Amino acid sequence: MAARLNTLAAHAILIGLAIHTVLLPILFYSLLYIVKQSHEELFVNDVRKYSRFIADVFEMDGAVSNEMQSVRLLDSAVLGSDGVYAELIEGDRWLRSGLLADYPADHYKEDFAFGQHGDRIYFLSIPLDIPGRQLLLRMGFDEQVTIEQVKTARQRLTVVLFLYLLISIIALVLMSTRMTRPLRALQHASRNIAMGQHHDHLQVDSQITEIRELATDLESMRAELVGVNASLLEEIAEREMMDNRRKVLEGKLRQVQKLETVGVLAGGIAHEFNNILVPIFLYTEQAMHDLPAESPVHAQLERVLKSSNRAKSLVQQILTFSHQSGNPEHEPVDVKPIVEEALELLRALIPSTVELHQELAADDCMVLADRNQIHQLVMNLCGNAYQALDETGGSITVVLNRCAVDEQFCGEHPQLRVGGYLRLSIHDTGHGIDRSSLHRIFEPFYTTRAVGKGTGLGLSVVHGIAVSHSGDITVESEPGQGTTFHVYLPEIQPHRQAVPGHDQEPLDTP
Amino acid sequence: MGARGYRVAKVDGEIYMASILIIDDEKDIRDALQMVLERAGYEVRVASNGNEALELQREAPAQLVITDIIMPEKDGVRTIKELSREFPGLRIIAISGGGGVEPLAYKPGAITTTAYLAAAKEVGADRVFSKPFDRKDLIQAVDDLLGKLH
Repeated sequence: MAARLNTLAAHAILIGLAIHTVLLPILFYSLLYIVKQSHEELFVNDVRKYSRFIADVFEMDGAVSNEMQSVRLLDSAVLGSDGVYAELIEGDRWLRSGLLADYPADHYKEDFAFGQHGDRIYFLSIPLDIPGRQLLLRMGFDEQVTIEQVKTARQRLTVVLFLYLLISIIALVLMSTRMTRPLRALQHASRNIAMGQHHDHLQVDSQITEIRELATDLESMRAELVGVNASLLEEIAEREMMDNRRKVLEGKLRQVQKLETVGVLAGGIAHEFNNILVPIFLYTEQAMHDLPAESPVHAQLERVLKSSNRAKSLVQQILTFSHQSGNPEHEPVDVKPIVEEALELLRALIPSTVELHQELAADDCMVLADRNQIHQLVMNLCGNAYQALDETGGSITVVLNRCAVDEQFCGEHPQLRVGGYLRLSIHDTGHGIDRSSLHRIFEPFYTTRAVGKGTGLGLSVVHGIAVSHSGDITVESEPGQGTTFHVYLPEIQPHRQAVPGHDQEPLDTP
Repeated sequence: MGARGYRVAKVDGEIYMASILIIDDEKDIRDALQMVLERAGYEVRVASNGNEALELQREAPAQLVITDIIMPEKDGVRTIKELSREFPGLRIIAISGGGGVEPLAYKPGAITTTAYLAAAKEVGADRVFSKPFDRKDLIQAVDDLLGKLH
């Protein structure tokens, strides 16, 4: 209720009413006063009019010849005016109108007297302007007439003023409603903006300048808000993207650092291990040399040597993973024939339940590489894929193509540089790798396979080979959907000396 | 085959009893090499570092030195440099298990076994082996270098 009374319209109406409550009584009583005054004036005018009339008649006649005529004159004065009494006085003599039967016989000598209903009667005297005579016309007026008149006037005034009040209230209500309609529209619009719906244009038509200007200001504020909002959203999106990118990079960096640490550790261990292997080999071989070949100990030593050789190759793998394999002789090699050769070998090794597809598109794609390591990389990745299909069967797809690495991709793979790369992708339709394993898959000795089904070094070696060739390896996997490894190796272009952009340079440059 | 007499080597046209100096900071490796080479008929002395080897060599020069590369005090490459300067005509075999104890080793292009051995070859090693190696290969190399006379 209070809220409704606090609206602009209610305030306007209340102010209107307040003004009227002060103004209307003043108007009412002033009008009544004027009515009363003008009525009294009427009496005075009546007396003057009849005094002149009587004086004129007397002058024409020279004198009032008989009383009858004078009395008739007085009668006409009573009848012609609103008076109730008329008499002529000359010295001690007086004549009264004959119509005053109801009045007491003795004349009224006072200025006022009370009529038969207790009404007050006022008397007015005026001397007649007749030379040589001392005639005085005296007339009486009943206040009841005035009271009646004022009463009527008051009743009419009340009705008129009431009607006026009603009309002005209606006018006020209509006007304030009309005035506040655009304001309400503005209010609605600004509420919408506050609620977040700020895409609709704001349109308020009003005759009132202030409201129009307010609407214009609000509209420009809205437009600015929309702009600011959009740029904020853009900024937020950008920040989110940067955040995500940073997170990816941090994760990547952590992984690289982890592999680095593990690599250093593994390299150190491998080095020590090689030292330990030296006496094992030498003593075993010496002993075998000293013993006759048919000795049973010779056969046992053969087993020792075999195990030692396994240890040696394991250490070699660890060194490959930690880039200390001692094979830095990278030469320009065409990768495609190496992959083809490896796949041919694999075809013979894997059972027919596993299909092997190949899409080797990159012809004459040269990479600075170690032939044997590239071979090992393909074998390890395909071997890994095959293990994922061991029980279920499925297919392995090997794709070799060229790809351009752009800045964004470099951002996600800090090991790479912008430029042309050769991409070797190995996809299997196997059981996939879960998320937690995916992060650790290149760590040495990390394996999800049953004990005895792999050393856990295969992918570490692949990673080591990729990185030592200035490349990188990525893995995508969905559990149940299969796994794809992408190996990126930087392409060298022996036939194209210039960067593509340089070809367009004019040759006749001075 | 049994024990044989000391082998002789022909160095610069003259015949000496062939003696070999082994330098390695690891006793197990020294011992194993010493045993294998003695059994192959050579006179063998051992040193655990480069300085000790230089002293021994000055006392009684050997015709062939087998040295490790990564050693405390004086590494193999410096030892080879000094020995070959002081004893021209000395045959040298370098053996190494590779580096890779410093963090740099993980980075592509880090010093690898091959790099060490290449450096050894550069300063005058006749043969290089990376650990572990075959007994027969080693004896073959020693025999070749000393121009073994049977």
